[in-house]
Amino acid sequence: MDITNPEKEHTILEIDDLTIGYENKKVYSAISFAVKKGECAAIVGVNGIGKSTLLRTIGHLQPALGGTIKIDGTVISQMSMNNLAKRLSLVLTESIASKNMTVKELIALGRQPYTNWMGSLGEMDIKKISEAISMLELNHLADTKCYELSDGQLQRVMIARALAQDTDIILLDEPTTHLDLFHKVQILKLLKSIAHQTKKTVLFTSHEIEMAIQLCDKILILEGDKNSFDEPCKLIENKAFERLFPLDTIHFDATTGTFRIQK
Amino acid sequence: MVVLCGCLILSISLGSVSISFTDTMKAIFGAETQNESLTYIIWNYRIPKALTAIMSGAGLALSGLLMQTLFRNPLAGPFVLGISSGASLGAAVLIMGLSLFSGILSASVVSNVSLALASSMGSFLVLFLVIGVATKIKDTMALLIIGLMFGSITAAVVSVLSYFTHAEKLQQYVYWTFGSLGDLSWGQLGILGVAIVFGVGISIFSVKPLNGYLLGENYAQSLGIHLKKSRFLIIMATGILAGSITAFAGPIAFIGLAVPHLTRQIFNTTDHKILVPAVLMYGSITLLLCDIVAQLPGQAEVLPINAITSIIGAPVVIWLLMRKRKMIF
Repeated sequence: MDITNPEKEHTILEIDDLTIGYENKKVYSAISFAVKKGECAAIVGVNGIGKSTLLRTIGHLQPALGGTIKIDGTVISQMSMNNLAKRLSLVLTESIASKNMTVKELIALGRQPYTNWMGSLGEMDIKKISEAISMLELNHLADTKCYELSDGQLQRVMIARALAQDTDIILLDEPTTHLDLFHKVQILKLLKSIAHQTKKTVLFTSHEIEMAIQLCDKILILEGDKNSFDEPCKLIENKAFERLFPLDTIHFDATTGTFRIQK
Repeated sequence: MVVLCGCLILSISLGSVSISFTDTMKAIFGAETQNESLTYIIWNYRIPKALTAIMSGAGLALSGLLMQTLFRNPLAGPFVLGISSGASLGAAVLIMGLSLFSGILSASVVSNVSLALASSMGSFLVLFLVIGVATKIKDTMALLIIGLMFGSITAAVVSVLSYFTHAEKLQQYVYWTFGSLGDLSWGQLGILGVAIVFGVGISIFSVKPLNGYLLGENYAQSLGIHLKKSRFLIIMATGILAGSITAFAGPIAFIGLAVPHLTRQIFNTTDHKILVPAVLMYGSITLLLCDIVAQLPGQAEVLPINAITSIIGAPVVIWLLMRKRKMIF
């Protein structure tokens, strides 16, 4: 892909006039934004606004009610399941069903879209798996069972699994919940370096707005009736963050890029 | 494999009529034995019985594994979808239901063949209902509940039937629920064999989706697995395996639930590439061993296989879990 399209500013994920929700309940409509190759972008907004629904819709876990989602110019509903799995990987909030796997086995499952009907690993698969393991510094844990891991370690393993899937886009649903400050920063910095080093597009939902402002290339703010998508500093200029929470409770300090509690 | 062969020979050489080990070997390998009837017993009674045990054990254990992985529930077994209840409904209707309408007729109708036919019809009726529902609903857990509900309905119908039936018919039904590995002709064995091969084949074909299911359905889907298709295949395989075994050998409990746990404990893996052949093996060995005990070597009496599987198996699983102190799933 890189050879045929050397253009750096290449749009990989394009969302156009998307309506999300469930059969009889619209959650959010008219969402449009585009993320470029190698960008790390966050989706922020208050609880229940539809961040996860949006992420699940882009991840094709639930159907879009209207509008289009394109990956590299192709509408995702027209892609085969296996092709989509080669373009887009997920890290979800739900815990995995079986934790009696070693870290390596779990990461190897990320190679499923590429393996044969038995799921045997080839040379390329093994290479990608070990790359993912060393990128997330999991070498010393490779043979540990998943039930022995801490939350932060498990999250890194899940990211490694998505990385081993070797997709253009990695979607993560609240990757920093249940983690302490240090591990939150560690995960977010990792996501940024994954995006910049591997030229994969990383898109995640988060409540860590202050960290996202410092680390992300782009931020999508869901406000209910409208949404803004831009670089963090431009969003600050446009006073986009100030509308996020009720002003009498929390106010946004544009100079430091942090939220202050109104006393 | 060696253990399996050992158990097989042991199972063949032990039975109500005591036959010496050398005679057994001679009979198996076609040499002349002292007594023609010994050869007859071995070829027409013991070998079919041992083969039934091997196939049933393997099939039940595999279908248990499939259900536990599909529903991500350690309590699932081959019969959670109501397959055995369907089979017992079929058997109950044949044994007890018919007698309600025409007492004379039923006596001649109830034979092993018709019983197998009725119970397989019952189990496939439930299976098709479940598959019909499975293609409609998205939530696998709802499917589990629906399977249990089908089970309750059929169990209730069986209770009503047994309430109105004669004592001897009820006894005949109860005997069927004990399960029996014997009494299969070579022809019936062939049918069972084809069904087992078919079920195992589908399962092997589903190894990759099964491994994907270990992460949960959403992750499985994100790995490119067709949820509905793979779910259909897995249910189909379970139905064919458990349905045909129940039809021929009665509702044999416990193997399907326990052997997958046993195997996971021993192999300490969740990879279905290892688990599928391993549960097939352990399932056969376990049921063969149970069969050997049930025959009460040297005695004329044969204990109900269904009781033996639980009496021997349950303590083993309890012991394994206590020893490991951790439930591996």
